[in-house]
Amino acid sequence: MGRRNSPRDRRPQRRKSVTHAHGESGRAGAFRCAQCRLLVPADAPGTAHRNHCPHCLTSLHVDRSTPGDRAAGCRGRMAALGLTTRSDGEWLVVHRCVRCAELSANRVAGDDTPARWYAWRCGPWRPPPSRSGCRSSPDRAPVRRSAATAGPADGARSRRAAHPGRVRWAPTVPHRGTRRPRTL
Amino acid sequence: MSSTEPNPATFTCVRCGLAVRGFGPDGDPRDHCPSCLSSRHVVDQTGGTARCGGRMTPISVAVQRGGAWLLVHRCVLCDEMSEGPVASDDNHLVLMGIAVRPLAAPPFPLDLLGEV
Ligand SMILES: [Zn+2]
Ligand SMILES: [Zn+2]
Ligand SMILES: [Zn+2]
Ligand SMILES: [Zn+2]
Repeated sequence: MGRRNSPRDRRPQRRKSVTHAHGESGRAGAFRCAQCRLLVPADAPGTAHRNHCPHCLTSLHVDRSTPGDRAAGCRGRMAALGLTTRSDGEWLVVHRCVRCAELSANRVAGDDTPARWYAWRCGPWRPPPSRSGCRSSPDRAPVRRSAATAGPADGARSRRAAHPGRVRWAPTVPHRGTRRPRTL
Repeated sequence: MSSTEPNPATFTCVRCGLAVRGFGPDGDPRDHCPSCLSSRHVVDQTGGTARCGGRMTPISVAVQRGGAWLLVHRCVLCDEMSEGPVASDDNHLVLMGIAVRPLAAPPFPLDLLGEV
């Protein structure tokens, strides 16, 4: 063993099939996360286009319509908004650009932090709205480990029991990027 | 609400045919059917009028930092996505179904959550 296995000799090779030539692509195609500054290798298990940080799931607004097309000039930070699934069951992360509010959905990679995904899914596990209106509540606390380790239903119940006062359901909080409502 | 935008008092849902009042119980204009949560692609991402007119399927429920819920739609014709607030009389079962659908087929073993 010895020299052959030293980290210096094991620099990951750039994948020949992927021809990203955008600016943030540095050594071996790795990029620096715009949010948490993690150095993210370009190779991602399960997807050809790693476009978000596996730790905080933040992305950069560089693609317009097709993942990897690098056609958007915005370059704003794209924060993870939620999760969705395709009809074949594959998970997608919904991103929203903090600069231009455009939305996009991207496949999760095999090494994305599972707890982050789950934390979002825990978010909606809260009591349904009462028609009498919303009770006020403090800001949401991060999902605790105990809730994240329990099953979905158990997590929901324990969160609910632990925070009976946190019954905020509301369409009322405006956010950047709210567009005019669509009429049908 | 822009004065140039027509906001009919009622509209018919393109998916389930429900006749829906243009404003929700809180007085906010609706952008989707409260029963099936479907919408129509008539406003583009910049807020202008979209020519597409396709049906928009609800694909994701997102929770804002303040606790408010957002519903994310994707157009079945052109794949454009949009977001809008959840109204208090939106169908809870459909909302919950969208919210938990990813958990029905997690791409990783759920025990992994204990190790992170
Ligand atoms: Zn990151
Ligand atoms: Zn952008
Ligand atoms: Zn409907
Ligand atoms: Zn469309």
